[in-house]
Amino acid sequence: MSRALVIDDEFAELEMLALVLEAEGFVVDKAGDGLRALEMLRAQTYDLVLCDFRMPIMSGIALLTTMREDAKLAATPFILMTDRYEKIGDPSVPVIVKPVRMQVLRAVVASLLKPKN
Amino acid sequence: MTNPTDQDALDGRLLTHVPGLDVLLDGGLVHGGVYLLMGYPGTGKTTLSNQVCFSHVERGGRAVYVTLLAETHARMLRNLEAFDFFRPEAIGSSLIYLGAYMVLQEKGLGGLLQMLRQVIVDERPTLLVIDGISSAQALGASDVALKEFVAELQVMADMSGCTTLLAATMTSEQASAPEHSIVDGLIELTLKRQSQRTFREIEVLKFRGANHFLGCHHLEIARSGVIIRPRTELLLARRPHAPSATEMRRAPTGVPNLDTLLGGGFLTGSSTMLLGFAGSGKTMLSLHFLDAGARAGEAGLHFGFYESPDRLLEAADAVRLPLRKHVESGLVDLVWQPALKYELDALGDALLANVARRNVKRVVIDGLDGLRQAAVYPERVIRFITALVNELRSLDVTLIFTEETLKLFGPEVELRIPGMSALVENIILLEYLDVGSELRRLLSVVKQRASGYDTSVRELCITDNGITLAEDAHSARDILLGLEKLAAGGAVNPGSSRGGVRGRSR
Repeated sequence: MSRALVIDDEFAELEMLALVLEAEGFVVDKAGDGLRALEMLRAQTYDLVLCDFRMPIMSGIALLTTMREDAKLAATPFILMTDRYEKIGDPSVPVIVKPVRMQVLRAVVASLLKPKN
Repeated sequence: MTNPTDQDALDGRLLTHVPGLDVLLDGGLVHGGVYLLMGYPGTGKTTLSNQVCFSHVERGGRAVYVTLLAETHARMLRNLEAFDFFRPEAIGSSLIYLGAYMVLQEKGLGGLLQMLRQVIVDERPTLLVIDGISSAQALGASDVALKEFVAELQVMADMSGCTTLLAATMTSEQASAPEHSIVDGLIELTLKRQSQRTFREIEVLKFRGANHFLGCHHLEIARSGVIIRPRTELLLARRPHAPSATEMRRAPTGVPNLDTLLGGGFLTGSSTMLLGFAGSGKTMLSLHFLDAGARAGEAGLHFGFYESPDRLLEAADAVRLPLRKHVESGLVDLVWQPALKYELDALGDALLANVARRNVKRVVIDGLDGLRQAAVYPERVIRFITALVNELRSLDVTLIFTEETLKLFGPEVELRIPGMSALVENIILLEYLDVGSELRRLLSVVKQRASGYDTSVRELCITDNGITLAEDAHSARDILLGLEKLAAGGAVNPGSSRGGVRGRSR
């Protein structure tokens, strides 16, 4: 079964995003900041990371940069969520502008990968 | 009243299709908005919420109705069966009813939120109604907890694009400030009593993102469901008006010598007040007016409160006025509104709808007292009439109001609606005189704006051929001079409005 990690410092959004991915067939773990997420990424293999751009302690872009420098994490599919359009210079990373619409998220996930059941 | 079109649905607005509500909201609800619908039991919250749901799913949407009340769905749905909007085939497919009272009771607002998130993900509704949110307060939820609940609902609504209605048994005075500030809109339904009349009202206290109608508006619950009547004067103020005609045309009254006094008839698009005591000839004169219009191919409307259409037709037949023929051909419509059955804005809607549907060019409102009695707030009447007059003027509709004076004889003419004499363009006074043992009638044009007129007083007679007006002022002068002589001899009590003796006090 595919595993996804959702990272957002906003609890209400975190819960909704997790539910949407669960409905798409993922087992979902949640984290409230980038540093906690990095710990979880090093302990477990994930098929998808869905991450907020601005967070305390470690931001989403900082997490992405750290993952790209780690051979074991560099290829992990990553979706960034931001409250305004951000150019991040990495065409492999889709950016979804908040508020994230469920149907948009589903479409982006579907185009990025297929969940394994 | 014209409701927004479905084009507005493409502009980020969710049309409720509740008559009048989308107009009140200046285009419907906003997609993904969270709205609080407040009101005591009996004000219509449940009916309105369900009506919005049924209308929504009928047009391809998906709705979930969550109740936090102890009442069962079966009971609620049984009460809705009588309404025309009720479609049982939608229930369970595009419209889903869920009970969450137990969830709220056992797991609190946190558990309820969890349930709602799952519902949104699983059912993908585009409209969510949560009925009975005040139960949360009754079960001990704090103001802070409710505020957080609403905030999380907004996140859900944003992410799912699902418009959310929270129905709460509370008033705006009771609702705590946090709920007021967080939601995207606040709508209150109230039930009010004035003397022996009970009526419903709706007020949009807050609505983000639109220029909604302020103040209270009439709400009625009919077999079709909830109908909202935005106040006529506000509604008409927002309509674009066609520029006034530059060419001055006349609408003949149907009484030849009256047209002579007026310079050919009333100016088209003008408003006239026919003033006189009961039986002085006001209604008969107005029927002549409609007959004259029909003969010229103009559609007319008699909007009355006193005499039924049958009575009017009998009266017209008695004086050989071919009103019946005009009614049968559809050129004249006789609409009778029993006093107090309808509220002011409902009357305005009905009148304007008739004018629009039939391209009416002549309207008689018989009489003003019917409008006054229909008004819940008497101070509104002049504003309502002003709006109506302006709207009909912009449509080049010539309008007559009949108004009964309070005294049969006497020097004073009292108008019961302050401001009417200034509002209307024309005033015609019909008076009685008691001359010896005979009642005589006089007609005078008191006012005609924007046009000269003959100020002479004329004797008016109601004959087997309808109303006739003397060709000149001689007979009227003789009557008045005769009365003055009688008065000088002490035979008649003074009380004339013309400086001599006109009538006698009883």
